[in-house]
Amino acid sequence: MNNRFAGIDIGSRTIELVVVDEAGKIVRSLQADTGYAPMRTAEKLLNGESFDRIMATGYGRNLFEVAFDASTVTEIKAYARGVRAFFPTALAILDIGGQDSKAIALSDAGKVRKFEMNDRCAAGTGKFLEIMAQALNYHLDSFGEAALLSTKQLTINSMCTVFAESEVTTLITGGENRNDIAHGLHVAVVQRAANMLRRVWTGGPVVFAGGVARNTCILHLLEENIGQKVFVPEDPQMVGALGAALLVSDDV
Amino acid sequence: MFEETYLTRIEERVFKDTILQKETGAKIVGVYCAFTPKELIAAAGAIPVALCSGTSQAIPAAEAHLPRNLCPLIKASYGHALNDTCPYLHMADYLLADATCDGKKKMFELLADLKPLSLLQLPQTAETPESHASWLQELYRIRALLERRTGISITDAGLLAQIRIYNTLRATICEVFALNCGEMPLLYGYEIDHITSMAGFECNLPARIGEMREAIAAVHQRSKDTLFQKKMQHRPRILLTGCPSTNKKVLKLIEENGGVIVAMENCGGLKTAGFGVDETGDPMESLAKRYLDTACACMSPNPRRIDILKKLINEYRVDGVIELTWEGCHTYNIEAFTIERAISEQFARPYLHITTDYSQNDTGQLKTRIEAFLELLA
Ligand code: SF4
Ligand code: SF4
Repeated sequence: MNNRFAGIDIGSRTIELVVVDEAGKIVRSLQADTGYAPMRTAEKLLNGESFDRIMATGYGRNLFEVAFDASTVTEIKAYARGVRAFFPTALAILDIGGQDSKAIALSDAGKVRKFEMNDRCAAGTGKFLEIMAQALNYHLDSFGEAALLSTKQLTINSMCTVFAESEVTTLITGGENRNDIAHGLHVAVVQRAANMLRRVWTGGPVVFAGGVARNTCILHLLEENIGQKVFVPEDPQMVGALGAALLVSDDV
Repeated sequence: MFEETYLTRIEERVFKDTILQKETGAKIVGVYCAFTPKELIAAAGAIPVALCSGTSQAIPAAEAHLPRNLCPLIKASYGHALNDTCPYLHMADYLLADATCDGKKKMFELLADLKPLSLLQLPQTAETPESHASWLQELYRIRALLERRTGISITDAGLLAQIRIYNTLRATICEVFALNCGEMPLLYGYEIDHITSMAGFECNLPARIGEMREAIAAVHQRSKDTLFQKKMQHRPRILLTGCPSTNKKVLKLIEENGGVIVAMENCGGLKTAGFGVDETGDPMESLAKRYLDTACACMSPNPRRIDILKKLINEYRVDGVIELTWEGCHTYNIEAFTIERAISEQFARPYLHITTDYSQNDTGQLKTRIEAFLELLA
């Protein structure tokens, strides 16, 4: 029988499950909202899936390790492995997820060379964009598109979610166009993310992963900021789970 | 082997010794920084005690007077004074503090309202003859001040005797650390921390040195303990640097997640224990030289810190360097840039910079960062 390997990425917002075959080809790929009982959500996702071994990553990895007797790996290493499966020559990864962001530099062989993570606050992460979209009354999925329609440069100074929200309110009452405000917020996020990337990146192909990589305005601004094309995996949120699945299969 | 209970026992012993000496009239002098020559205090028949706090309980109280975005070490130390919750500070008759970073300096002004306090005017550089001269003058002023306060005059012979005792203490602390120089480290960082701790008052140092020696002898047994070696074998060897690691949360996380702290460069560790006072020259000049050379980030420039790191990386076969800085500590946070460059470019070692405070609300995030760093060293 063919061996199958699973990786599960238990994030604060969503949980992803990926199953690969012996050749590393994705055979299953599932996602669910984490909810308030992450282990119950994980159990539901696993229900009916068959695999020989599983590895967990993400902030809930240690809960999973205890509950399901699995091995674990950090998001950093899992992302490195997962990204390399899509882009074998990638030398840097920027990941902006729901509540954290990270930049990872890879060696030519694909090993993690150096990394940076945001500190404890959610500034500049998916959560920040979500709250700002709400404040401007946009649906999160169309937030980036709207920002691309902007015709005027506005500067947002605060990256703290609370301060930025009041800055946005001031701009709205000041009669500014909401697409322009949206654009200003996107610029601020990219500025911060690009600085983080620069702390580790020394040139070479860059991959953008995590939920925020779906935002076309962020992607566009990021490319502009670092002056080169940025690659995005087909399913940018699955990278961590895929990496974990591949790592456990590498072990065998 | 050297858990919390090991240290608690010693703390109790030290406390008892101190009470006895205090009853016979000995004064207790609280100190805050590595620049204060404790030899001077001891030579005046007084008992030094280091007061930098590593616990978070008193921080909310301190924030009633101090800005919230200040280094936790400063807030915690001040908060204990406000609440009168630190037994050591409570027992201190007066305080000697160094004008190091801005936060400490200005906090000391407020602290002076709560306890008699004298500030040592520290030059900002150790690189000029003028700064050495003024520091020597300052130590003479402190010497006279201590004599007035204790009513005991400090003789050169008495001072030299204290220099010798403190040199032995420093050398013994280095011996404890050196147990980790070999191919197999024999101590976890948290154990080094317990074994080399001053356990409060610096009274009856020969007894404290004796206890450290006993610990060293016991630890030597580990080189034959296969079970211990099995657990230690594959742990990446970490050098800890940065602000004083007064609060142990990062130290714990590093070792709980599979690393071993083989050496600590920070205050209280090898930055201070690694250097003795010259016993041959004029004792005041030797003291001034040794103490002004402390490789603290408050000094500008601070070239000695890189020299120490280089030496430790080689001697302790270090795999990776973790720098711990407290939030709000400008001196160390800025210097981290220079340190990172030296570590990664000159010494070719991976480097991780952690900035945090005493609270527990970022433990999950810190765990991931530390684990990922250890993964990349494995
Ligand atoms: S690092 Fe410098 S300022 Fe901080 S405790 Fe040590 S000597 Fe004092
Ligand atoms: S850690 Fe930094 S800010 Fe805090 S007392 Fe020491 S030098 Fe000052």
